[in-house]
Amino acid sequence: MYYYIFEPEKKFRRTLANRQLRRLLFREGITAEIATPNPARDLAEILETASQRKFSTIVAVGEDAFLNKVASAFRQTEPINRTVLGFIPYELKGEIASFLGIANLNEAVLALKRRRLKKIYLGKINQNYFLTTVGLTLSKPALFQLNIDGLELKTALSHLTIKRSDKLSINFWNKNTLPHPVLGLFYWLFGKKIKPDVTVLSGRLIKIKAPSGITLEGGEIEAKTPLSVELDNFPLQIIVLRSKI
Amino acid sequence: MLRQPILNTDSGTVVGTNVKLTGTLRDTQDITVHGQVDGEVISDKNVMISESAVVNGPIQAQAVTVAGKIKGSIQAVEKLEILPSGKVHGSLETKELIIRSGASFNGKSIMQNAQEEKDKEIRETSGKKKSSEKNLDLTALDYEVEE
Repeated sequence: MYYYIFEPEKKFRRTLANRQLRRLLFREGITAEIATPNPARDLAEILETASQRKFSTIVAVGEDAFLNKVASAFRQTEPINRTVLGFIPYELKGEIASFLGIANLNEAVLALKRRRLKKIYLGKINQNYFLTTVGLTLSKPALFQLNIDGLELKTALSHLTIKRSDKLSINFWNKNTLPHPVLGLFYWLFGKKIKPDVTVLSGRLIKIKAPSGITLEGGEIEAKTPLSVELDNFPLQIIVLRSKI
Repeated sequence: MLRQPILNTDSGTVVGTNVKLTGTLRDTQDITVHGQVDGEVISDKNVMISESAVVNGPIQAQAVTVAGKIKGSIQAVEKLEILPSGKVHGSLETKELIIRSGASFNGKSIMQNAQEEKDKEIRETSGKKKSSEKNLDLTALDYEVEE
């Protein structure tokens, strides 16, 4: 039994996409109840209702930030039930579509119908959860102290991304150490190597310290340093288009 | 466009030029070091120590390529290559060792094949010794029967 949670429509384009999706769901015979968060009934309340009414599958429909928000709220609402979470991402070139192996709306609907499940662990920052990535971009590099599963490091960085998969993968670099685009083009034309400064590390627990409370953002998450990012202990069952993963 | 480096997280661990790490750096995938590592570097695949890298600690991997500075032992199961800019201070243990002209190496090297051959030789020698002892016993027995 499916229960759809649609992102509130802000643009006419989205209304058209919703109509097209409803037609596809009807064609595949997987139409069901639809809810949309609004000021009178927020996401937590909708999920609570879905849980009480024992829906077997909750499907989030919308852009990546909304899907992240639903995944986080879903994890906080019912951490021990057996409900499955499905996604219909509207950002078809976004991270969630790529992670699910979905290239278009037809495939997203097909994945829901096939109901192939994958066990995943969400990323966790304080009491918030994220499905794909969190990160930060600074206009001026700052000195960071990181601890990744006991591995200590100190570095100045301007960009940081933490990607969730089987582990947490952290990438960071300092834009000041990279050549200016014009100089970079010059280097490229004359075959000169550009000195790399991208660091890629992975682990299950990442502790981040920065001198002045810098904010890490992703989906609905906004967390100030110092902070810890870890993989959640409880797995979620999500629907994927397995053939492409 | 060139300011945004392409990030490929599937290729394993990469330590950037201006990064200093302390602790054990371990990965099942390849490890590439451009910065400084104070501690062990362990990979199930390949380790590449680039020209700008400094490693103070032991390295263990299937194959190790050194273009930077290393103070510590290197254990490469398959192959170890020290490039012209490479400087190694410590013991090496590998099956295949390549030291390019201009490279610097200070320490002891153990070739795993040579070690295996030495072990085999020792085993064979001890085997021969045992069989000759056996022969002596038989001679003794023969002699006793004759008496």
